[in-house]
Amino acid sequence: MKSHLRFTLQLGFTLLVCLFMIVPVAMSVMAGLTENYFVGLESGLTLRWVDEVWQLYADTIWLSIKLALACLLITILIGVPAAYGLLRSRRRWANAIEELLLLPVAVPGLATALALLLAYGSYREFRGSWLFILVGHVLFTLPFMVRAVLSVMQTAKLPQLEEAAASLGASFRQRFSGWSSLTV
Amino acid sequence: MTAASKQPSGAASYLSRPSTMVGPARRKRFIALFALLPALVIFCAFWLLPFSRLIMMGAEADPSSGISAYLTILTHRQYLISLATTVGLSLVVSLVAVAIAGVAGFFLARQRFFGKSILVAILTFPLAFPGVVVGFLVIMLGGRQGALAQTSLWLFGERWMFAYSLAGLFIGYLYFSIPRVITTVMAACDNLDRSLEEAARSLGANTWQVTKDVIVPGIAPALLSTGAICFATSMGAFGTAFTLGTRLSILPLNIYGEFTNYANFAMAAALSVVLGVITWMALSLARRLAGGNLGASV
Repeated sequence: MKSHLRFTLQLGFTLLVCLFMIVPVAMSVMAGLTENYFVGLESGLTLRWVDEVWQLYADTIWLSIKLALACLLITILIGVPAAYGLLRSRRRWANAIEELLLLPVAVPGLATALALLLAYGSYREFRGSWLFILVGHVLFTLPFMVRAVLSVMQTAKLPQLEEAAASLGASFRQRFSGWSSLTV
Repeated sequence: MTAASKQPSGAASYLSRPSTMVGPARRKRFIALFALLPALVIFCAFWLLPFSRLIMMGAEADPSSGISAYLTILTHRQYLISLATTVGLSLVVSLVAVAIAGVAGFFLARQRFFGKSILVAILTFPLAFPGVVVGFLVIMLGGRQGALAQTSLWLFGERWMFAYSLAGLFIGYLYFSIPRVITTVMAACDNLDRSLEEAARSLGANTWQVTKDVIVPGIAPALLSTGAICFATSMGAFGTAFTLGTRLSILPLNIYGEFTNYANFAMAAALSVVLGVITWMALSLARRLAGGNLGASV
């Protein structure tokens, strides 16, 4: 009986926390779908606002998606080799470099943004382009890519596999294509 | 390279352990360096160099006080108060988030019941929300047209608001901290050795004693580490604070204000460095405690 009461209390508490997380989300979804937010639900539901957002901000949304994809591409292009490099470097060096690459995540984005602005803000062309934002995104996401790929490489026993392949006479290129199919 | 490669490549070491050295060592090191080069170049050009400059800039004289901006922060009331407010608010948020999400996370990790996965989903999906969105959600709760204002208008005939104050920031930071803590606590509880609890119980410990002496110490590293991540995230959260009001005196907004309103680059740089050092220390602590956990700022 006592454990039943405890279960109910904990469930109630957890439900309250869920409520805290979901109520504002539900409210903002409703606000986006009601005809007049200040009147409330009685004014009726509409997709007009969604359509209007799309009319006004379609370019912005596409730019965001483009940025995200470009960021992913660059992070893969430089992050996967970097993880391989870390795997192959001396332990001490690898740790130091990993620690360094983590710095942009450990420091608030605001500080990194300010540093970038103060250093490169005078290059008007660069500052005004989307590449300026891309640089910030790449700095911020690179450590996540490197870490994830590195841990996959480590658990896949990559060094041992590569060694075996090499001892059987595989060239670096053959080993590379072998392990990239393995990693991916 | 492992320890084996440092040993002389004699027959003994070859027999004791398959050698990791295939081909000349220099060539291998070269390949490693070559693979690391693009990432390192980008990191140095776009982070290390700019941030080093930021550190130097912070040492320049602050126009209003005439002394180094770092010293100005330490000697002027307004900056000290804003520093204390930011640190205090972030500390309280982390403690409350760990307490709330600790209880809920433990409950969800240990109980099986119908609909549990829905609750877990509700509690963890806001993890992906950007700071600005969280700020907007706080306005939904505590703004002029928010849930609280409408309820209080209906009950007492007046609008209650909290969104545009420190309380609003508190709720917002709590909102993005809870999912982080819940995921960590659930993972830690899954890894906890249940036989310890059973042993304690069979020795006559009641639920409270088991919680206090077995479970909490068992997941303490995870709690501390996730708390430190919440602290660092709250310290640097700009999007939420910016959405809720630019006049609040907390570090991220001060940095923005010094930079855009007063063009006081030295002070903005010094405040950023101070903020960066604090969050970096908190996250190092977190990683030392938990290992392998990355912090992500909002």
